[in-house]
Amino acid sequence: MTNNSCLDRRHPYHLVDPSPWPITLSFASVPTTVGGVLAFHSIRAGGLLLGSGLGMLLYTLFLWWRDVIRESTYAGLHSACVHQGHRYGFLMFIASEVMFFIAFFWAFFHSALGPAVESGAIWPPHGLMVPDPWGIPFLNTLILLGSGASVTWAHHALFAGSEKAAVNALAVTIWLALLFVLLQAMEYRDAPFTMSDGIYGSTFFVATGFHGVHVIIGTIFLICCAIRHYLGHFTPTHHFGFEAAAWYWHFVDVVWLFLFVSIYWWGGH
Amino acid sequence: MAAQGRGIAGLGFASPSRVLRGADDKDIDDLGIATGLEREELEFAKAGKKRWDEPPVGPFGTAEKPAIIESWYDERIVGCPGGPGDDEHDVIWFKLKKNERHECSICGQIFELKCIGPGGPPGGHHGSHH
Repeated sequence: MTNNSCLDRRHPYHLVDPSPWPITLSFASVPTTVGGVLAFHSIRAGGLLLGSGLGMLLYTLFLWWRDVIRESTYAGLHSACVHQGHRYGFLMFIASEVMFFIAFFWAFFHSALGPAVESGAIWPPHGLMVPDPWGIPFLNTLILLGSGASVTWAHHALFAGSEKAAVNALAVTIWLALLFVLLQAMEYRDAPFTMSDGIYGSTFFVATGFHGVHVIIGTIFLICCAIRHYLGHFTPTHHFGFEAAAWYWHFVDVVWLFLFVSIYWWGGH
Repeated sequence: MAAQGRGIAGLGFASPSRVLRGADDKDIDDLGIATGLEREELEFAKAGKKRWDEPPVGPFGTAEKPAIIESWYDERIVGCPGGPGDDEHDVIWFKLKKNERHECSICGQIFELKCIGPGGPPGGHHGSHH
């Protein structure tokens, strides 16, 4: 390791040691993407390739973030300046995710605002049994809003140094998140239409599907935070990992609100 | 002995700072579990000092009172932004060496290096890391 711990280190920045994880991640992306495309075209090897690619991807991410935790919590290399850089960086990442979802909302509104004559020039297209927004989707809205409140409770508990309250609040958040995923999976299983059912099916499942993936990612992030908090990694003044998870969770919640209002409510009957 | 409790999660819960630093209470101070450089930065701030180098600031350097630039080694890259107000100019970069005053080619500001560290070439002695 380079000379870090004595007064020769004059700058506050963290110049990371060489790491194999970036290139490992790019190598893992190849079977993931190629396997994904093959699987979509129902070629048998696709599933295996996609699965092994995803496995390599997830393992590399685990190793990479494990190293970040070692460098920050265990080696103390995250000075105030590095912390600030992470805050800006993560906010910019969330901004890029917002742009990602804007694309799918654009696609939805493009078709829903000017419905094609082939589907009856109405939206939703004639013949489709669309979900009742005031059933499970509304329950999911309340669940996510509640989980947004509980993650904020957890944050305040962390500030106050109430470690047990923080663990409880995080547990509530995670249970609510899992409940959302379960309910949404049930909706997917019981839906009377599929992704192949015209433009309605495509926009519905791509938008809500990507949202679901982000909820799963956010849930895993929160679970990691709960484990790290249990291990004592977070202090009242330095807990950026938790803050990043909370920001991501609020972003997921806001996307759902837009989905509910646009696709389920306005886009329904 | 660390406090135990059961939350909604159903986990047995020892106070986290004790889990990480050991059960001995005297290990935990108001800096918590901070360690390494992060801890040094916090300790320096508590003592009212700065841990990191900051860009040098001071009055316009003249021949009688040159601008003193502190350096850990025997040379440092310095940028001159000119004088106050309308005397500002685009930053001119140069290497300022020990025992050699430098005059800015645009505004004439005079700089002098003051070595506050071990000296020698910048970046430390080569071949001796690890």
